[in-house]
Amino acid sequence: MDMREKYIEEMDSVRFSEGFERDTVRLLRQAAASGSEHAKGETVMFRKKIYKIAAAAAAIVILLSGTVYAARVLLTPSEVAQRLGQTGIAQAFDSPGAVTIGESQTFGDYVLTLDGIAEGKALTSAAGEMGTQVKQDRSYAVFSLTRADGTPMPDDCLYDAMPFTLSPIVNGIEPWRLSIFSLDACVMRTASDGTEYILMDTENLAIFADKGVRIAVYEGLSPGPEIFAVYPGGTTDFALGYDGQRAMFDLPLDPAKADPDAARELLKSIDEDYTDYFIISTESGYEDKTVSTYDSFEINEDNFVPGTASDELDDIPVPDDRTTPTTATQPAP
Amino acid sequence: MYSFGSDEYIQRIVEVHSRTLLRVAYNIVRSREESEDIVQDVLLSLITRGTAFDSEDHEKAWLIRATINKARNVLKKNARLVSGEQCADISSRPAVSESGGEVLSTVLSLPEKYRIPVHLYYYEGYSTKEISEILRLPQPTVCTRLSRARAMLRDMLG
Repeated sequence: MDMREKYIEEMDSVRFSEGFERDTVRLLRQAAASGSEHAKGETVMFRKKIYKIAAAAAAIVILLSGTVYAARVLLTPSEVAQRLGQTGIAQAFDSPGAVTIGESQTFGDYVLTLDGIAEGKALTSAAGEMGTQVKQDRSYAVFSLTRADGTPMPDDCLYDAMPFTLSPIVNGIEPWRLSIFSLDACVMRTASDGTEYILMDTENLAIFADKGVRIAVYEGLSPGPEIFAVYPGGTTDFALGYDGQRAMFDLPLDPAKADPDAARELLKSIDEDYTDYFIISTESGYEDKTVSTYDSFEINEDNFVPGTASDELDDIPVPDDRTTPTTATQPAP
Repeated sequence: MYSFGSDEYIQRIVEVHSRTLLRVAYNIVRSREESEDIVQDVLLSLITRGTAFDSEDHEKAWLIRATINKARNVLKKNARLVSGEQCADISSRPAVSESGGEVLSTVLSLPEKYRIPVHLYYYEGYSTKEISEILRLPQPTVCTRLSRARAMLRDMLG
């Protein structure tokens, strides 16, 4: 056997995830369907880790209304993390810095509850083989999902694929720039006793604490300007023209933990990382073209308020009252 | 011919290309999980941006090129995360052959600019002219890199 044959044989022996093709087909179909729902062919953005995120996006897949119900939590956030095999995250939820929230919002036939948040440095199993040396500050949140009528979630709830997404958003920063799709996020799901649990693991959100951080729940995947807007005064919220289902959870982060330098560095990294490369076929061969994801959205002037978003973090004003939950049962400001 | 974005189109694009793209990505990032992320990113870009192609060959070349660019982006980002420096040497990442094969491990230990031509030539069966078009390099440069890669592999494999 010559070297070429050995190389082919050994490369062929590298085994990728068994369900990769099946899951990718499902993801692409979901993306195609989501894109087709947007008027005028608006671009839909999908980002790194979508493979893992898509499952969660499918999980938060509910019809939203504004009624607040008491939470029905069977597992604590720490138990959820343990159940998902994330021992480090479980410890973070057991630490004094963890915050129990228990805020619920009813979504049609379902109730989504933000059970708690925590910070830590634990690596998730999805952090990748390259991640063994990476010890970054991370933010974690656990949600539980139940049926409003009290009937248990179906056994196959983890395989639901409806077009809703939950994503952190930061005041003053466009969600199509900073969202779950650019926050190196990993979302894991498990179910127990008729309740589905969702563990979100993202870049450290506390660095933006002085701006105000929330978790938005919305229809579809792409957090584009047809869904969100940055308003005068620095609030990022649902766009006026967005008439889809919605919910919003405030995160009670300590403003003292804000780190503008780290936030600035993260935004810079995101801007660098989320530039897409294209190849254009020409008569003489192929030509490269780079397009920033940030520039790739068609701005809907009905939704977007020009000049209120800023690349300079220091220019983003702190909203007047960040302590008031924006459950978004009313149109955004 | 399937209509763009249809279920049949998506099924075909995944079945026909994912295996090739996974291995191209793996050749660069040397991580199965990251390769899967990269390939999904690339295929999503294809679906969501509505890129159309003259032929399946053109489609494949675009996807390979996009995969290479995405994978290089991932390497650069990971290098920053690992080192905390903006200009970390991305080639310093140790080669990992998850198959344990000697030849594959050796190929993956080559600098990236040699690995990709080797993979496209020996595994995918592209000609040096086709590789030059995909990588947007002059054909003589591709030939030189392949020649140097072969020499390094001979030395390394004894």
